[in-house]
Parts: sequence; structure tokens; C-alpha cells
Amino acid sequence: MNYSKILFLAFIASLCFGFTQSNKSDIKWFTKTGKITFFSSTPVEDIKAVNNQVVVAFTQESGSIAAKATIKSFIFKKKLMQEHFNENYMESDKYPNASYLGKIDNIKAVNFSKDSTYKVTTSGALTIHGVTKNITTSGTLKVEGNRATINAEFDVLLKDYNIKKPSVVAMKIADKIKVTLNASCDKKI
Amino acid sequence: MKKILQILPLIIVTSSLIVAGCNSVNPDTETIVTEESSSSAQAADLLNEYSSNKSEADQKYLDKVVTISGKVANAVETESGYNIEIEGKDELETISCAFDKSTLDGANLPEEGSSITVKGKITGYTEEELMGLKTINMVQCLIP
Repeated sequence: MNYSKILFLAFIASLCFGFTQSNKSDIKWFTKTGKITFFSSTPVEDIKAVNNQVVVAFTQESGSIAAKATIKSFIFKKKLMQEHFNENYMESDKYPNASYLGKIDNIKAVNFSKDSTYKVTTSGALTIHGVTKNITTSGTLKVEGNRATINAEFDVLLKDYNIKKPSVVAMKIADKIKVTLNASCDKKI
Repeated sequence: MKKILQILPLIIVTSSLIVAGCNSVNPDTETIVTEESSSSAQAADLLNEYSSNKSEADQKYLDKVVTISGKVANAVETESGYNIEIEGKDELETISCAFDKSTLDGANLPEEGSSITVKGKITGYTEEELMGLKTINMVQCLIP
């Protein structure tokens, strides 16, 4: 191996090492008890479901953000609603998880050493019912010491995610579902 | 008017029966598991089974009542009750157990690091991309 090849390999290795180090130094925040609530409102009936076991993680420098929820952890008041949700609409045996992978676009606007509530926007890919769509959302990031709480609210159109409503209950379920996320993430030290 | 007054009690009784009937065929969601456990495992072992082969583990455990033992990673209050995380090999791998408000005393939640055994229904498993967080979720939990 000649001298220039060794230099080139050393250069590539240093780049890889540097990349790994910067990833490692990117402070991470996470929770496994994030809350997603969805709310469907029609003149016939209001339906609400809550999932308190949502995994949410984000990185402080790059602003990468990920969230995962198991569909069967959504709890309804009525047992029958929960069964219909899993079996007929979400087909949760076939599509067990919902996920989001994206970026906090203006993460640089957040000062993690100053307790305050910051307005943030995120853009990324939301996967529900096996269908992935790019979405943009806005919300807040509240910094309190080693805890950062994300609050966001957005709408999901059932047809966008190929979720069909059986005709017998079509009047009871809205075409547009309001989704709220609340996640108090702890700093990974 | 007289006719309306005559049939009013009938309307009230019929409406009550309809409402009662609807509630009896559409009961509230269970808050705690009532079935016997189909199996028992250490938290770390169950997490290992899921991360090694999710579909095989799902066949054995998904929607089933399982009893899990391990150490408490954390315990928090949620909107509908409490959530206790049981640690696997480290804090990034946990079993997340949702309890109804009626099943635990919020003033005496188990302490971090203490040993615990929880019975509940498994609702799924996720692996998160950024940090590699591995989580098994359980609902309708109780401490046997």
C-alpha cells in the first residue's frame, strides 16, 4: 500500500471517528410515557382515546426526533369502541405501531440552558396503518432544567392513511381526527 | 296535550330501557386483567426474546396476560392512572406497565431500583431509531 493510499484511508477514518464523536456528544432527551390523545367529534358522538406509553426521543444539537406508539395501548372508555378501533379501523394485528421520524426545524432557537417555553416546528414522516405521509406540525418545547416537555397538536385525515369507516358507524366517526402529543422528556446523562 | 301526558311515562321508561340496554352490550373497558397469567418471565429475558425475534415473541405473548419480574426504572402518574417501567439490561430497555388509578396508591409508588412483580396484558413492542430504545408495553396491570 503506497503512502497516498494510507493517507487517504487515515483521512476517511478520521472523518468517521469525528462523525461518531459528534453523534455521541449530541445530547439526547427521551421518555417512554409520552401521551397521545385522539379526539373524533361528530354531531352523533364524541370519541376520545388515550395512549400513555408513547416513546419519544430527540437530540439537542441536530434536532432529530422520533416517536413510537403501540396501537393496542390506546385506551377507550367503552370496550366495544376499543375493539372496533383495533379490529376494523386500525387493523392493529397487521399494523401494530404508529411512528414519527423527523426533525425539529428550529432547534437552534431553543436555549436548553434557559428555562422557558419555545415555539417549535417539526417536519417528518408519520406512519399510521402502514401508510407514511410527510407532515409539518407546530408546537412548543418547554425547558425546565433536565426536563423538556413537547406539546403539539395536529389533524389526521383518515383517508390519507387508508383507514376506512364501516358504513354502519360512518356517522359516528369524524373524517378528521384531532391528535395531541404531550411528552415530558428527561435528559440522558 | 292530554295524550302527550298519557304517553310521557311510557317514553321515559322506554328510553331508560334503551340506555340501560346499550350500556349492558357496550360495557366500559376493563381496567385490570382478570385472566390467569399464561406465563412468567424476568423482564430482561422477555426483552431479549422480543429483540431477538419479534414475530415469534408476539405469537407467544401478544394480547396475553403475563407476569413480569424485575427492577423499577421509574414510576409516574399519568392522566388515567400510573405507569411503572421495569428495567431490562439497562434503562434503555424497559417494560412499560400501565395501571388504572384504582389499582395503586399514588402516594406510595414503588421506588426506583426496588424489585417488583407485575401482571398485565402485553399490547406490543417497539424499537426506536434515535437511541435504540426498546420497549414492551403492558396494560391493565396489577401487582399480584
